Amino acid sequence: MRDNTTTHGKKRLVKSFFNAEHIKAWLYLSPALLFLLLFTYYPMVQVLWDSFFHRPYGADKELFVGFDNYSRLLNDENFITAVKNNFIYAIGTVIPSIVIGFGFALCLTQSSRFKNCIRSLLFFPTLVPLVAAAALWMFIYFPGIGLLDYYLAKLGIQSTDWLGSPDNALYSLMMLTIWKNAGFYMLFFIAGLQGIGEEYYEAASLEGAGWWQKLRYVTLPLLGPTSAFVFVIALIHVFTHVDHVIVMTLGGPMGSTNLVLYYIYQNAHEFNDLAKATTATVLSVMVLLAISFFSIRTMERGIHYES
Amino acid sequence: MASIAFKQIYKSYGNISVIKGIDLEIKDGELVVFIGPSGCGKSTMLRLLAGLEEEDSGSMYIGDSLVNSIAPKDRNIAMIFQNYALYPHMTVAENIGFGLKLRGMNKKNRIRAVDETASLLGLEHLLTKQPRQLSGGQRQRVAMGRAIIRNPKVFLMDEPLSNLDAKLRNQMRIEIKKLQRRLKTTTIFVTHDQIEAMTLADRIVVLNDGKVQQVGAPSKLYSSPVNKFVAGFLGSPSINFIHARRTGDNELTLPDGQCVLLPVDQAQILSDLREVEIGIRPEQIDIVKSRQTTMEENTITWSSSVSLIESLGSEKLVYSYHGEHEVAVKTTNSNGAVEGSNIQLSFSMNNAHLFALNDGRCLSPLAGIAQKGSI
Ligand SMILES: Nc1ncnc2c1ncn2[C@@H]1O[C@H](COP(=O)(O)OP(=O)(O)O)[C@@H](O)[C@H]1O
Ligand SMILES: [Mg+2]
Repeated sequence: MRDNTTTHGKKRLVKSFFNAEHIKAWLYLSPALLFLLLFTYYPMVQVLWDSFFHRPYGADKELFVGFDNYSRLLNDENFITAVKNNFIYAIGTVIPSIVIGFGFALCLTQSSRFKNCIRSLLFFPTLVPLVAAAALWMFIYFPGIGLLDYYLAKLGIQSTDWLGSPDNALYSLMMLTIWKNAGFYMLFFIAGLQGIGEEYYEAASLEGAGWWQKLRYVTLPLLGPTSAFVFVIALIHVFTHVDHVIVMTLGGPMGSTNLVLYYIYQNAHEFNDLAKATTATVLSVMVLLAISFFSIRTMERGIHYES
Repeated sequence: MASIAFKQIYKSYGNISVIKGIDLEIKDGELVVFIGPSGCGKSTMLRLLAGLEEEDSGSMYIGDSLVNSIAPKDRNIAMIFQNYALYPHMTVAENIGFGLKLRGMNKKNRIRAVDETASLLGLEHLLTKQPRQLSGGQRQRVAMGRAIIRNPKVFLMDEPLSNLDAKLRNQMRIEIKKLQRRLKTTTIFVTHDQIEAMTLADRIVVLNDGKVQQVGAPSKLYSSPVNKFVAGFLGSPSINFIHARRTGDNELTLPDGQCVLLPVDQAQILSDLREVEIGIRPEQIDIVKSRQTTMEENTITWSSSVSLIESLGSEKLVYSYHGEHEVAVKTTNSNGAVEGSNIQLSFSMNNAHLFALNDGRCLSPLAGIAQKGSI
């Protein structure tokens, strides 16, 4: 009986695959699909393939080297530094910018003309291209006469080499990133907060909840799906944006601001070690895939909060 | 448990005045139903008492204490919202026990209290479920559970049954009434459904346009409404209104030229009003065989054509047209009326109410039932 229905189902599936409606659907899909295959999936496969080949200096053709590129990469101190930096950079930007964005959102959820103004001001850094923002922050960080040192001097604090010292540079870049992204995340949180029905708060008030308890037991859990979404966006930002590194520090001083994407760029275009660049790309694509897989799962889990 | 008093409450949103001077006292343990058309301010009254809105002026008492400036969480009120406002991320048990948790009750006592409440409401087997897994009636019960577990002084229920289907609504209505009887907690129940109001209430408060129209036991409001609004709002089908002109001291003339004579003392109440409306309940009208020859002075008889008949089982609703007027009759004896036929309707002015045409106030408790019906 069961078998019967499945074969029946299979036949129906095959039939429906070729029916007019389906063909039409595929036709409609084909342009987008074509470009997706051409520019996303094909390069991904190609890169994976390439990561197993290497053309040593002077050789005239590529040789299959198995996992040799991977072991070369993992033994490259610069790569390890880049991964470490990226890790610090991720933790040090994702969490603060989300917390700050959430804090802004909490203060600015109710609409009023004043709050709308503040919201636009806070959102503004998101609209500035990263390259321009980096150039702007160069002035802020300029030792001695930059905006930051100028004001710190008024407080009696000595001038600091914000970008030139290996101890400070990465943190200076992180400040810029937080400044740039917090307003963006704020927007998601505002949308999320506005989606929480007023009656949940009213019920909580009558049940005896104060401000903190409402935040703890109502707002935070109901914002779960929004937070997961913002978290993933923030992580992706961390791996995909290096404009500021290029503009401000070129990965230095002493590799202290080298991030994985910049490492890939350097190997591909400066050191001409395409095999290493390719292999590092494969690894970071895998991390990004893992993140998006994780994100879709969490977001699906969040859906049943509605209704 | 506590009594409730509203004294000269005013509330407006922007420059739109919503509550326009409400005075109302509710006794300890009473179940009072607020009824009125949509937008008349029923929810606003509950929200004011709960502290979710702030009144412009006036004072509110729960028991002996003035609550105007007390925070909602300290008023010891439980409210059931129209859409229940159950927390989707909490289980049934967590939803019910939420208030106790916020008040810092320890876990052991809390679990015991939740179990007790759940068994009172028949929710034992659902405690680990989440609200989205429940039916409408079950969600309603969970909302009730969250309200009663804290043993609050007052229950406020804002149209709690309106999201349920008809059968479940009847069942929950009965449960709410039984529960209220048992807990004896002062309750305000808001509805726009007059059947709910009539069946649940110890007393009904009819609201319209931000003002109390009338307060009283259901049967009292039904039998002696103070104005046209109350008369028209309660009763299904609605009371029939017939316009009449004063053509003599104690004589009224209907649009079709019929005259009725009023007793002298009732005519006095009319004073110098020239136009009135006669209100007659559908069940006070009879369908008679033929025009009766021995007509009493104060009986009105009409011939009219039947447009629709609805059967309610033992009773029938007969809608007919008398000229432009649609008249509804509720009767057990339809005397062979069929749709499209001509019938004779008859009612006694003894059962009718008179309303002033200008302001709708009730002029006379003409009806005999009005006198014996007051509770
Ligand atoms: N927050 C608000 N802002 C502005 N107007 C409101 C607000 N709440 C209610 N009103 C208005 O007040 C009137 C009474 O509302 P409400 O008490 O909810 O009526 P109901 O009797 O249907 O429960 C309505 O006209 C409504 O539009
Ligand atoms: Mg309402």
